[in-house]
Amino acid sequence: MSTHDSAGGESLTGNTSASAPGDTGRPANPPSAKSPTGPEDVGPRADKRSERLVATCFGVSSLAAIAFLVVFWALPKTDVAYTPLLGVCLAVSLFGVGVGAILWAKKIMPDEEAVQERHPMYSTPEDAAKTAAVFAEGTEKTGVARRRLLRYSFLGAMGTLALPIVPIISDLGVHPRGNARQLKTSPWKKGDRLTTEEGAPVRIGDLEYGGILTVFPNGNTSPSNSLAPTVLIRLRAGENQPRPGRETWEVDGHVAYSAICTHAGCPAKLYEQQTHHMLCPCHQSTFLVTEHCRPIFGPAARPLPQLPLALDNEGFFVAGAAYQEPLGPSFWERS
Amino acid sequence: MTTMTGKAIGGGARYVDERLTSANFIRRSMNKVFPDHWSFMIGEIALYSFIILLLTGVYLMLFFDATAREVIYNGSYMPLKGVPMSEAYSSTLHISFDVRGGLIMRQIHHWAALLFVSSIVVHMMRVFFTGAFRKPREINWLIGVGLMVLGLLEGFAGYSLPDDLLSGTGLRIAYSVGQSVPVVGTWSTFLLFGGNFPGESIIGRLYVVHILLVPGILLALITAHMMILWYQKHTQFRGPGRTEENVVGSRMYPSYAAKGGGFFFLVFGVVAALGGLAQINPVWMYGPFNPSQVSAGAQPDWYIGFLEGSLRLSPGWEIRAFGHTIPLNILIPGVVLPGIMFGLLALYPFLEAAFTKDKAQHHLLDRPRDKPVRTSLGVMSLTFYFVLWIMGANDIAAHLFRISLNLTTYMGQVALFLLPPLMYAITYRICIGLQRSDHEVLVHGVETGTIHRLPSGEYIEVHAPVQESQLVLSPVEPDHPERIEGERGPRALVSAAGRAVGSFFVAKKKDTSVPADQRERDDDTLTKR
Ligand code: HEM
Ligand code: FES
Repeated sequence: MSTHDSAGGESLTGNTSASAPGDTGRPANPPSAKSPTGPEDVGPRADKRSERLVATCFGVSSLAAIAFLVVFWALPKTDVAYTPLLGVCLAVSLFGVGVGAILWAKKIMPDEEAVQERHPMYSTPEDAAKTAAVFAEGTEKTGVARRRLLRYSFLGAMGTLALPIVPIISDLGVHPRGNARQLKTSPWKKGDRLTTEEGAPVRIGDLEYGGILTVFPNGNTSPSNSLAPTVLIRLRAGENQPRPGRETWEVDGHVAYSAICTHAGCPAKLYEQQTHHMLCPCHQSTFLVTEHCRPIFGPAARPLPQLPLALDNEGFFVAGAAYQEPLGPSFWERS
Repeated sequence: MTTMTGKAIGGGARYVDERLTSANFIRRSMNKVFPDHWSFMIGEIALYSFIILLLTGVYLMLFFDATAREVIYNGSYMPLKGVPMSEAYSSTLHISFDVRGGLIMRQIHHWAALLFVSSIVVHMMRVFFTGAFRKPREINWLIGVGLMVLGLLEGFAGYSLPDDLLSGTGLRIAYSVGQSVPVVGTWSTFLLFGGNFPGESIIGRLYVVHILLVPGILLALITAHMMILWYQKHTQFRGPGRTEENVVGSRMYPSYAAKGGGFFFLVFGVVAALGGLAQINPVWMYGPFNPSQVSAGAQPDWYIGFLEGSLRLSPGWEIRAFGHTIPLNILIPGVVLPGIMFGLLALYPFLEAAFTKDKAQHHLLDRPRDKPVRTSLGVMSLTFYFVLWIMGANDIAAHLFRISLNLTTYMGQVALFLLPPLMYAITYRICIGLQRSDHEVLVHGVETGTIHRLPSGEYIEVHAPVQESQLVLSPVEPDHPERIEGERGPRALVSAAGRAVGSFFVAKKKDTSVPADQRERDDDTLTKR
């Protein structure tokens, strides 16, 4: 056991009184009291065995690191084993170092148990008082308590320095005043054709009974037009129970609703033919298609907005009018 | 030490010392004592995974392109060839398929992020349940809560960068959550996203947040966390020779440095193995983000799950009045509830000190059973969190157990309010049971495993009196002695369960089956591990 001679420098047990207490480690017990790692581990032969074990770990690590290079360059990166093999090699080389270091600490370094005093976690009253006095003296010298003009003009200057931040921040996005209007504007205008993802217009007969199709205004599928996606659903005659005043919004059993969930804006498009439930996969709001898509389950509070349908003179579906209410999730300025 | 290396080190040390006067500081640091307990390694896992995140993150930065500009994919992943997508998504595919070792770097980075957040949470649990947050360590607790919140934010920002279908859906929900805040919500989300969702700016901005802003703050806070820890020294569990005035353990150099350094490589090794062998976030399977598409059964990273769950559990409430709308169905589960949860977490040390009128400094840790109220409050809060978290995957649970989706939601709503108080009561009972079994050991002694046959033919086990060195259990009185005396039936069960749970946190377990003479020998040595 060599705790006392080498690494510690000055004797560990001796310096408790000499230097600042609390900052020295010293063994809690005479090192000879007990063999730390069990009797089978002592003696020169066991020591050699431990040393070899640790060295083996480091050796394995080196080999694995070299294997990593081999895999990295020799294997085509499209090989299914490429990434797994890289991982294994890297992991083994890291493990080798880690296990080696820990075994070194456990098997070769003496297992000491040291005790260290804590220093008190507060200053003496005298020290605290002295500090307060220095602060008070400094403050007194500034005259901030007496000189009101300086005090208020300084505070004023700090306050006005905050002003330049306002335009800088407000120019991060579009002008705040326009926000609500943008959210309230329907992405569909009267007469916009209902087009599929591929841009094809839709006519009666394209959808089976119980069918559902995602449609976009006049072929505009741009992701930036994120409120536009709409679903066209074909119900059987008489299944739809329109809201009063919306009797003319359906065309031959076809109805169209905004696909954007009124809860948090996911596309709510999982349609079940039998029950006419439309489910939003995000938080499972469920809308009843035959009853103007009113929410019947989940966190959504409002029905999906309905798009009035009409046919143009070529027989394609068009928006009979713009959406009559803001689409998507609620916001403060929405009435 | 050979004289050669000795000279070299001595010379180097003198060079530094004549410039920084560092000898005393370095000696004190090397002699610093760290208590050895496995639960103290959890914070280190967080630290190490942060280092791994920095290393792999810098590598990814060299290839990732955080722009929303639309490109037509022309890389080597065949199924997406010719598909329009953002540059961000395309460069993620490039890293995954066309950069040698890029995929493993991505996967190590992601696994390290999961480990980072997980270890922070578990570390916080150990700090909570052992009372390590008490005076004088409240500041480090507050920094810790800050680190956790920033860790969540960092994870979410990073997760959103590839601009795939899954992360885009998460961003869409985040946008709606921001928009739900009364008065300022619409404005601030427009400023953040540069307009209506999705806009052109958000990926680039999240990139700045993810690689500069949050990591910078994390680094600064972790440094502060470590410096305060260093200065205040670790807490320690009760045990022979351990007092409020000392720290017992191994010294920084060489023992702790070797073990801690080795542990870093082990953690890195585990993450590297995961990164190589376990696929994570295969963005190419989700496709590029598209606001008209969503995949069913999609799951966010685990640490966002509780928010997903709270949004799912929310009833469809909304206030519409005076020309304004307040969507309570997002505002409460998405903003108010997490605010309260993190707020209470941050305030807990101060609340506990105020309620218990405890102004003392504490360096010895509590065993959870000895503070039944705190432990039960902790379990109660964890239960609340856990219900939310499970509900973030209720569709998967419904599918797995073949029950209706709606039923899982109703069950979750009931469980959210019923289970936490129930768990409080159960935990409290277990704590009391454990205290009592400790008390019994103190009174009757420990079982020796030696069986004697009495002349009457009866067998008894010899109990040895507890010796001072075996008092690793804090010698506390049970909280409610009068209640304990009266109880018989459930008591046995509770303490049996308790014994199983209890061994978890016991600082040091003595092998009580050692023959008495040998035990004697252990008593005067404190080194037995
Ligand atoms: C980036 C995240 C974090 C890192 C890297 C980190 C790292 C560490 C490390 C290495 C330690 C010393 C080892 C240990 O006691 O486990 C520690 C101690 C501590 N941490 Fe953290 N931690 C993090 C987050 C947190 C959180 C979320 C909390 C609480 C809300 C917290 C509160 C504390 C406290 C009070 C201590 C002192 C414990 C004692 O001395 O017993 N930390 N931290
Ligand atoms: S976004 Fe549709 S339920 Fe939440």
